[in-house]
Amino acid sequence: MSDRPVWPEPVSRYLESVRREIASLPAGYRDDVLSGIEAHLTDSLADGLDPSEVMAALGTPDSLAGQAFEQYHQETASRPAYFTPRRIAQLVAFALMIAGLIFALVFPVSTEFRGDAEGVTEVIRHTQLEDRGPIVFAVGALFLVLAGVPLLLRGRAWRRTSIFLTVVLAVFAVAVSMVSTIGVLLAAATAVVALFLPARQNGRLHPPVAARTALLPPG
Amino acid sequence: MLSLLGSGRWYGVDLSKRLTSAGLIASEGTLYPLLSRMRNAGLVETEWVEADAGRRRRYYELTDAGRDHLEAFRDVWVPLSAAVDEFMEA
Repeated sequence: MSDRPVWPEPVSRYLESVRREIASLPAGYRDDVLSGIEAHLTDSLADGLDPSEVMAALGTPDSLAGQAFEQYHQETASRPAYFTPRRIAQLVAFALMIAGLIFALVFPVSTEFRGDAEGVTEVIRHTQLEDRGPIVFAVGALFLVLAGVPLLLRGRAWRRTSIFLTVVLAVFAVAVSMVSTIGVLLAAATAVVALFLPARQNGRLHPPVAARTALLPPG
Repeated sequence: MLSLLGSGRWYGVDLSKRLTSAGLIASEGTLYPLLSRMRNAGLVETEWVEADAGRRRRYYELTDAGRDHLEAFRDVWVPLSAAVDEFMEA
């Protein structure tokens, strides 16, 4: 409100008390609740009502705060959670993909013997990168994207994308397995995700459940 | 609450009195946390309206999303309530 009203002493004490009780709520939500209550008080007092009656009808600061916290918690609880077992499986898979890429870049996988008729004079060990060239980066990046995208999503988009990408991942992992041992690691990572893929949810809610959820605004 | 707001624009004091007298909220003040939550959810919007003698009143009304939500609720509630009535009479 632009013009801050001057409250009678008991009313300002009441508002101060409400403010204190809900101080730990996020500022936006807290200020919105307070401004609603202040508007209620302004209008009621302007209508000539007795301040103590208006405050009694509003309820004690304690009960208002209780309601404010309850509403706030319901709102945050109805938001889809970020860390679910499935999401953790995807994080594990993503970590395995990164491990696979590092492995391909750093660890030698093949051995070359150089020498002459006298015998072996030199043993050179090659990494995947040296053996196969930059395509290792391309394949690595592809797997990181496939495993990483679901980590950025929530809710329905997450479910659909996860299923689709896991299938793609599985196909690629099998393909890579045929040409490189790293494919085994990728296949393992894919399996971790696939194990936790969401089952098809029932489209229709049981009526009482639907009624209960419809009573409350979505989070 | 959605239904009340669905009938038009309300200002806080009237809305809280209606809901309290219907026994839907415990005290008039508990309306405001609920309204704040509905506003956060994008179901309700609020507006300051110039009333008589330079006074301003804060009005609440449903957004389009709020209306959709009300419709969805009606679709479930009407048959459910009829079914419950039937059981109660039996």
